[in-house]
Amino acid sequence: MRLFFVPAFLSAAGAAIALAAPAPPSGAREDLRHAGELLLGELACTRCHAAAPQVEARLQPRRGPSLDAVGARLAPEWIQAFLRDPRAVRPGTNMPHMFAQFPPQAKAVLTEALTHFLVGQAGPMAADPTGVAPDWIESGRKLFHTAGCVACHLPQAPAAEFNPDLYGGGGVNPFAGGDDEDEDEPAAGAADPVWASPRLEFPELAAKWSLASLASFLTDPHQVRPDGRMPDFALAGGEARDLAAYLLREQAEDGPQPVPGLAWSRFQGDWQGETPDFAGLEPAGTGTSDRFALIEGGERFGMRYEGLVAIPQSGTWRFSTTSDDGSRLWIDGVLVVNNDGTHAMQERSGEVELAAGTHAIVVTMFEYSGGEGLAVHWEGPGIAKQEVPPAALSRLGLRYAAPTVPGFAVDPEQAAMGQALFVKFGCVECHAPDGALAGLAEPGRFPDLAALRLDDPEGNCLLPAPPPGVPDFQLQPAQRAALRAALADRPRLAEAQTAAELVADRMERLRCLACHERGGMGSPETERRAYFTIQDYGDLGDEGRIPPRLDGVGGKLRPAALARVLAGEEAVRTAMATRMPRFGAPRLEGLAEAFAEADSKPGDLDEPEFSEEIVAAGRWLVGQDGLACINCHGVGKLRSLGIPAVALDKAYARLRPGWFRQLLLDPDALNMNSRMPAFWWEGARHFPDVLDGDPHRQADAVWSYLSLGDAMPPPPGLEPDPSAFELVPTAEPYLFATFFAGVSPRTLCVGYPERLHVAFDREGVRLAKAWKGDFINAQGTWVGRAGALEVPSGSEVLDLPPGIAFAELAWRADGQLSRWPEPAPQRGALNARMLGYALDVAGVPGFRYAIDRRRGEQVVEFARITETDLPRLAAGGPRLLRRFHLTAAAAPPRLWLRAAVGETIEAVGEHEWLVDGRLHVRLEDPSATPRNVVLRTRPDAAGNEQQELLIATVLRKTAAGSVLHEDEFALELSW
Amino acid sequence: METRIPRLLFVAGLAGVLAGSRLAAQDVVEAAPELLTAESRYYRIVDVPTPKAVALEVGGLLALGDGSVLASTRRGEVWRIRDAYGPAPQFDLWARGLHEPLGLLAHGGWIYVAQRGELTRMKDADGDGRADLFETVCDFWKISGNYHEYNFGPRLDAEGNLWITTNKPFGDEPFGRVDWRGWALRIAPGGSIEGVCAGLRSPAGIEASPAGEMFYTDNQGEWCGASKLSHLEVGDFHGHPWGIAAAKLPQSRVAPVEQPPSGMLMPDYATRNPAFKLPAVWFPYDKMGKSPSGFVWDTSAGAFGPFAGQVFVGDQHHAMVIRVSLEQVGGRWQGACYPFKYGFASGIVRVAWGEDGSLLAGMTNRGWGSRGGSEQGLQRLEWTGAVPFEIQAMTALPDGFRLRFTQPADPATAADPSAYALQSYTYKLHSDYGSPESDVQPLAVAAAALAADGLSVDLHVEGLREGYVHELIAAGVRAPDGRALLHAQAYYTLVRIPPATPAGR
Repeated sequence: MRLFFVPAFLSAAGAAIALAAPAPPSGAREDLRHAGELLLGELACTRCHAAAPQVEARLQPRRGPSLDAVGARLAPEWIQAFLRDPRAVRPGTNMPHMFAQFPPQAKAVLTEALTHFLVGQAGPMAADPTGVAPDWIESGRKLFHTAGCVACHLPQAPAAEFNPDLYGGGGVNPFAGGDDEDEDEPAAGAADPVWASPRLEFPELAAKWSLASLASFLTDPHQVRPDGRMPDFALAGGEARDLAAYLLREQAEDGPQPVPGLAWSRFQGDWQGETPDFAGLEPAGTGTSDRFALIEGGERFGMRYEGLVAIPQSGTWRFSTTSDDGSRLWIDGVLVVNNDGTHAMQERSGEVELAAGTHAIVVTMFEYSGGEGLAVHWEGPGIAKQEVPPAALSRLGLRYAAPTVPGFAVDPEQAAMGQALFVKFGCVECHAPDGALAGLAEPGRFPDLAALRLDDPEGNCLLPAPPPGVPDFQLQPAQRAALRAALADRPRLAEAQTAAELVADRMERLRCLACHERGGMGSPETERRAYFTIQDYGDLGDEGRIPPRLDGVGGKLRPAALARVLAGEEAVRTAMATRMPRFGAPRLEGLAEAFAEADSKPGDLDEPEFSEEIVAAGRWLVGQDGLACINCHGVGKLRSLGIPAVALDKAYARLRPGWFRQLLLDPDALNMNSRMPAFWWEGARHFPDVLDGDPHRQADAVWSYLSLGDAMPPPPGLEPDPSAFELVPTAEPYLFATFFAGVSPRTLCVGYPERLHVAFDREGVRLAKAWKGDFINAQGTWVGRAGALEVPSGSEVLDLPPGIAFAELAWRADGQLSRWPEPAPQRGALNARMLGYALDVAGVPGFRYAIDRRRGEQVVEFARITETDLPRLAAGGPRLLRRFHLTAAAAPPRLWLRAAVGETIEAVGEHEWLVDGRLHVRLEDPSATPRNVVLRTRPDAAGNEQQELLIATVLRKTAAGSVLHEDEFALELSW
Repeated sequence: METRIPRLLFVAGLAGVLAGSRLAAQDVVEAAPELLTAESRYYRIVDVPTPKAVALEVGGLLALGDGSVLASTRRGEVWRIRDAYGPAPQFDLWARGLHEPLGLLAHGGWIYVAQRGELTRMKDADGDGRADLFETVCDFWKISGNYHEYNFGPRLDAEGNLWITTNKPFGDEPFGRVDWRGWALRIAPGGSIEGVCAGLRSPAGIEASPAGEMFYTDNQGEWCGASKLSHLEVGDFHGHPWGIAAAKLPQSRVAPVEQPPSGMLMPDYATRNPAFKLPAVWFPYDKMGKSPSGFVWDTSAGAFGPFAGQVFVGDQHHAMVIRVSLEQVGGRWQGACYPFKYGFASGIVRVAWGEDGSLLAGMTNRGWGSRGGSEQGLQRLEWTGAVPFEIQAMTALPDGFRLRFTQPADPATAADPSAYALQSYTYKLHSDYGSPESDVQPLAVAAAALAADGLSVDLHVEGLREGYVHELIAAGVRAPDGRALLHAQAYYTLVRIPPATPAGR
């Protein structure tokens, strides 16, 4: 395996090493030209030397950082120092030295003016009042060394600290044998030219950024660096702040001291009745606040505030909290206010004797549902009852000294001159090509790429020491040779890249190879591999910690899945600590398609046959008595029995069917470097009773089962955590009775393993809701005194028509069917009566209810209905089957079923309708008798026009001479 | 802004424990270890080992007679526990999907169960070990979606009617206020339903006496000054005005009741409103549990010890079993309660007789807290065969009380009036939570006449009052060998003073 070659070459310092080899052998001429082409793009030559669109498309000239608001971001002194000699300040930068050949006096004047201009862009930087908590630094340190930063940037601490497991097992520690001094001398790693790629060091970050500006940059690096070379790690919940606190730790002044503001942590959770112990919980977010105030609203959350309160005078102090829901307040570890419980805004107070001075204060609160709020008041010697003011609140923290220049002010004259220089020297071409300043530039002042003379002695970037006014890229001889080679074949630069070329180009330039291997190149070099760790349970070996090899990836992943991965929208390797960052859409254009074109095989998107029987076979094969895939792979939230390999419910949306088939039947051909075993070899037949023992059909059955994705019923052997409140139906339907939001307090929920669930309202005698995905979380019904109104855990919630499902309708004289009887304002069914339910052998409930007719005071039952609502597996996800069986002692006037209500209902086939463009309703009628169907418009309760679909029952004698009548039909609903 | 009423201001619960909610649970004072040790010489608590994965929050208990026990749980499950009396019981899930099933009854080949929203009967029709048929017997009443809307029962009366009691809600009523909460409802075999008693608060236990008369336990709180055991008769009003509006509905057998004034002494209100039913037994707060729940009559004819015919009542807060003796005076049931057995693992919600003669205690303290270290579970209480020295029963006399002892008492102590301390008090009917012991009066024992066999003593007491608890502490009584009574306390609720004629008893 070669370590990556070109990125090192691209850096000026690395180039000498990479090309200091003897004269290239044959074929190396093309390598040299290719390297020059990459340099043309990376150095963004065509920003000044305009080129045809095809050339631009091929070279993808890199954009310079946006300098909008650069003054607010960077320290003035750093800016000027950088302009004076970019590489001295930031080794390896692509920024050319613009003033290398100017006399020192001129250099000083020019850079001074430019600095004023740049600092004038929203600057100067503000001093940073933020106090840093020591644990932010520690958290940032861990993040920096495990999230993937060190794939490109020089590590700043030994890997053993982040991956102790590996260091029992012979991993190579770049700092091995050293002591703490190594940490202070990262240059020690520079002995290896590639690994110590100098442009990726962080010299003097502390002199460049403030905590706030670096955190802001890390949160959205593409805003400043649109080229995507610094990718976006989707940092959340204070991670950017933590990273900045770590990277700028040199700015810390001595020792923790009180700094303004309280530290808060926000937690997510379903608490009711009492505040949980936040101590063992992972916060969803952290930050600081100058008062006890909710950072944001919402439901089901908790807050914990911690800090110091300054007591001005010794004496008795009364503290109170006013909160919705519960809250508590501690001073110096003593509970002073207990305002706990689930309640509306209410105030509770407590008294405490306190000496003047600072005291530790902690306030916690939680919100279950509805409104929320928190206020903390105090009252004591000389202070009337009032909210605890920000001035009295602080916390221990480290003060960071931002590299501000006291008294620095932007000189307008200097700035004006700087602006002119910015245009004249061409800075604008890379840094602000689309801004207003670009319009000031003199057109044609730089020759077009096509017109460039490589031997022009006057103003040539390729000269070893370009004259004043010409940018000096400080190119090594080999780099100049490469550029010349590329420019020597300019027609070639206008050719479109092949898919393979495009893939190689992007992987090199976006540094994908720092993490991934493809075509024998790339993947983290030995010393850095140790920083790649697993954060979940279990041992997955290198598969669990090193980003995957990308050989053949375009033939493995579906195009859409590959695009999602590249866009950072899909992460299936949840156990891996390293994150796949986002590079920004512009840089990824065409990449997923190019991977696919380069790697895919014809027909590998063809799907095998789907049927419920085949799915059942596949489900069994995946389970414990079949191939036992569940030993390594989980399904959804159900963890595998062993290691945390990629969850199976994600497979279908990601993988090409052809690739999967090959994975099962001939894994060696894929050269996956995986521990996934081969199940069938040399025609071996397993499980002869399943699908005739045919390996091909069995492999396809597994795929058909996986095709259900989020709707996969759990395979035999996977069981949910019994202590969790999330109810997971596995082998049979799960019945759960509860108060249900928006339905009734007498709702019976039925969860199916097929991941389609229903809620039957026994008060309204109607199927009320159906949904997909997760079933329900019983916490609100099973914890404390409970009594919460539950909601579906899953998604795609379908609301069934309101009111009863069956009613007697009559044909009126005008030929119209009478109105559907709407439920009365008081609760309860109109004329339906719940009789109960019976479970079939599979545990599926059939709900039984009677339709009554009132004759004065007398209630007469005239029909009984059994309604069974259950899932039907289908390609693309489960559908809801509503089976109805009616019996009546005598044939009554027509009973009608209201099958659907919507704004628009259109017939889309025989016995098939589309409701509101979303819900497909299909009538399944086993009888040959024609059945009346009425689709009509009617006003709803609010007077809005709605359509309703009515289906007539046909009650026939069960046998000649019998008094019993019956009818049977079903509706299939898919959405 | 959520408009619901703060839940913790209401201090009632499944069994309506005590003011202060869960915080109070932290203040639980466990029973004294020496008392537990002494009690266990006579009655022994045995664990029913339960798998960790089973949350056995018992709401209903039923011994099936085949060595197995059905237990319904607050999570809506019904577990069939095979070999329930052995060292290694087996737990099989018999049903799931019930809504807070807080009572089980075997009747006519079905298992009846009271859920929040309906009375249901279920059976395992295909014999596969799981219930598969669930029929709605009655869903006449509605629920508003409040956590406290528990239903208890059902129990059969002498005529074959099914009775349930309904809790009143506390706080949120998200689906709107409904009728028939705080009632005893009676369902006739044909299915018709009547509201037979109003004014219940948190009626966590309902049971039929061996003669088929209905009794229930209620939990101290507003309009219920002290927890109690009351006789349920058609037309009763038991004091809580929450659900009285339903008395005007056609299904009510209770005459319309006016809102009672807040603050009267209960016996005074009873004089004003003849429909107001004084309890058969008050359980003075904390002295005799805090939260009575299920109860059973001792029909063992002595196989469970010397208390045949008496009543054993579970208490959810004290994790204990209380003993009650009842007698009928002037057509009214009344009697005394005594501490019986402390030290169960968690709050007792249901008690039932096991077929081995032991008393099953189903427990859950979720949401309220209790004594004992567990949140839930099932235990059994076995009689060791040894007879404790106890007040077997305290009964009323026209001029005092008679105590029967389980063993002969030492004449020197038992015939000494100073061996006994007596006081009487009653409770207020008011909207406050619970009532202090009111109108307290110390009473003197003028004479103590011990029977020749030493097994009973007649205490002559001046100043008996109807409608008052008469609290007796027989601290000075000893057995001939010097043993004190295992429990010296007895609390007699004197509803009626027995008439002086015919003379004596």
